Amino acid sequence: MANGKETGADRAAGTGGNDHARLARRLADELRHRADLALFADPAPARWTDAFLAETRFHLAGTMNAVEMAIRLEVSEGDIEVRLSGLPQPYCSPALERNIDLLTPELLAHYRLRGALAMVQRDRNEPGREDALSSASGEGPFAHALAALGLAEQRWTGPMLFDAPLRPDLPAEAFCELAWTAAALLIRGLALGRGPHDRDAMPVVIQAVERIISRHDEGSGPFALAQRCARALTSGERRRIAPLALAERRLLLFCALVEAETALPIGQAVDALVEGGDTARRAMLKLMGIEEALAVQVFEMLTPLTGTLAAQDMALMRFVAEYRDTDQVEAEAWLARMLVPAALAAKLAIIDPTS
Amino acid sequence: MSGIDATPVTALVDRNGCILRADDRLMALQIEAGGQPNAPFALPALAALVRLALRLGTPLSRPVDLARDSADISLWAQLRPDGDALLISLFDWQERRPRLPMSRAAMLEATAETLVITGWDWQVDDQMRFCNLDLNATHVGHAVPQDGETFTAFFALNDSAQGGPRAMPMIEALVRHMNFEGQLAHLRGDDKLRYVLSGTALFDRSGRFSGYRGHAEREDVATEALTPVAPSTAAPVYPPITPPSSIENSTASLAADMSEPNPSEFLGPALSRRLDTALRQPITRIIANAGTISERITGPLRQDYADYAGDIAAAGRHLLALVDDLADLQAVEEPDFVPTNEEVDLSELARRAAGLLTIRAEARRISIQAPAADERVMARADYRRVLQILVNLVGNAVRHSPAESTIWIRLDEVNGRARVIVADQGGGIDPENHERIFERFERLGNTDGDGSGLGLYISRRLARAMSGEVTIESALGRGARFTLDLPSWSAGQNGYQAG
Repeated sequence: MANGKETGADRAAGTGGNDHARLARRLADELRHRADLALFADPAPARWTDAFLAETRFHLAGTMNAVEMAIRLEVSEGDIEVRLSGLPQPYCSPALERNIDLLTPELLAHYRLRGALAMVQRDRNEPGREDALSSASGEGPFAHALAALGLAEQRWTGPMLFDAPLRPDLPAEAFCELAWTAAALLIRGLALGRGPHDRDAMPVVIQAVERIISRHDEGSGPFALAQRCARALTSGERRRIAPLALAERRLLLFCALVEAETALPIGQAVDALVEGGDTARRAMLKLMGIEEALAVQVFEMLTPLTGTLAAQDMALMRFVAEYRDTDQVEAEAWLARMLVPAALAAKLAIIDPTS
Repeated sequence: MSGIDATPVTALVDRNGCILRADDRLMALQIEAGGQPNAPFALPALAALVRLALRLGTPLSRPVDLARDSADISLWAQLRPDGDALLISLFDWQERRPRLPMSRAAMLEATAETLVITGWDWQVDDQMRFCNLDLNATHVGHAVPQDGETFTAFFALNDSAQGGPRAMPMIEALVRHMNFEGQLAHLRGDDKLRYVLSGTALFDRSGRFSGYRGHAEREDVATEALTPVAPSTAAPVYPPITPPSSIENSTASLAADMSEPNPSEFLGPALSRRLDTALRQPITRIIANAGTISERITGPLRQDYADYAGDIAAAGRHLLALVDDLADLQAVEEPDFVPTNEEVDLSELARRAAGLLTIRAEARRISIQAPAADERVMARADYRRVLQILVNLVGNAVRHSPAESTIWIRLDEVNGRARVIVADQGGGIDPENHERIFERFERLGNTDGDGSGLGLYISRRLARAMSGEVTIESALGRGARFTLDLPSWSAGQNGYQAG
């Protein structure tokens, strides 16, 4: 912080202390992403447990395979079609593992959340388990949206076949990123035998990807379906459904309910639940009026993701104690911080790293 | 306030995001936000979506909140490239008031301030059952309906006192799945609490009617000072009339009079209850999943597969109706089954039953002649159960009437008895089968898969439990005439007599 010993250069760049903080934050972000990439390519027990890693890889590979298949089908130009058929199938997902730098932080973050949701969901379907959520859904628009969401979620928890396609039911931004990544890999694959700038293949693949992108329907994806579920309910109903959703490990639905109740975007809500730490989890659960016993269940269901499995008992005791101490005002304050526009929050964090 | 509109509000923008055309509703928001008719959207959230869709070149489908002075509007936006332009469709407009922090809300509730609202919002599903309610008895000032409770068990609809062109706007609207306003009503629990109801018909994405979302505004506040009423959430909305000992006698007599074997012999209470819970849930899920597939909510599907899914949903609904019938059967055959004893207007109930079946009848060009709106025949009975009986009788008449025929519903009150007569022009029933049709699972050889064969049996049991009777007059080829006979309210007795 300012201490009266700043140089002119310090002042030009901001206060000296904050300059360090800014640099440190950027380096930390970059390092974290690099570490994620490295661990993603070469698993080690840290932020990625084996199961979590497998789940995320399954989703990335499956959706990438589906996009690749769509591109191959879309390319009708004879020569390029023949050359594409000469590439192994699937080509893109193994190629991505070899060129992991192509995976942007945003796309990897999305897959990480998706993998987390699916991993929690995978343990849901115990034989003979009472499905209170379906029973409570009645027959109206909510029931229809819930059924559609259930079908979509079932795809997420299918057998982990890394060579098979998985419906790329991603939000539009992530889908475009994935499609262009696949395009880059295919163009590079085609160019391997013909030099770095294969002008013949590039426009054909670009046109194919543009057509695929123009047909993508993010509205049929689980994120959108969960939001439609939440929109079909009023506030009181959402608060009654939220505990049922958590009890049945439907975290995406729960996050959609949080969005409808608090205006916290669903992506941020999922991120807070998976990545946000105990403070965020406590606040979200408190905001939705979740009872302590269920909050403990949520804590336990998230342990494979949060890395607290090893120290579970201690961590659980701490979580319970802190959940009891968390009041609505504290939860509202957390929400208020989260609702600050992301760009502004980033600037404020640079100015005051302790905030 | 509005529901999931069958017709979206649309707009078209060019590659620069400038509006080429927009429906009036959206254009009004654009002007309100300070925008120009042919400029980019001045509504920031919508403008951001337009920019994103143009940048990515992909369709978008997601919720968006439009901020306004009074209350935000939350809606579902679909943006699709359309040639060089972008087509915007906005569905499901919902008004969203600024969020009240929980601590403040909790404080309001805890202190129960003198905040009694004069109007509140409600929603019912396609079966006219309350759903998605978010009401607080303290603020509303009286007991509030519960989710799942039928609309008519909470509100009694009144005819327009001024003799306006639409005496019962809600009933007329319900038949046609249209919006309504100006429907007078009072609470069944307290007829001094009068309301004016308005409602917007809700439709799902396939355009199918899914209920009403509406507003109830107190009509009596101008003349009566509203005072906060202590919430009585545990109290029923309308207290049942204290059953006199004769009810117990009648129930016992009814049970003793049952010449049929006890239902527990083939459908014991526990088994029936288990069946209900074990079947209802999976069937409901099958219906919902099949409906989702047939409506192609999750993506494109071949027509024949969608049709198969539609067949599965229809079969599921039939199964669910059977489960409902079995649950009713279980209820009426319980020794302690006692219907509510209250004053009901058979005329209103007959119109309501007719209204509920009008769509089905119109599909076969069958006309239902219900009692006139100014007709009143008051009976002592259970409102919900009488409606159930009448829906069964009128439904049977619709099912068995030839196309382009007429069904009459007439009322009669004589010698302390109130009657509803449902007459059709169908094929009629041989007199030797008149009693058989009231037996369980009796369908007289019908194999059309429609109906469980329990409806008339349950109807008669219900009528008898209300000191009434269901009878038939018919002959082959001469139509059928079913009569529901109940104690008249004017007869003055306090409870049900032994049947």
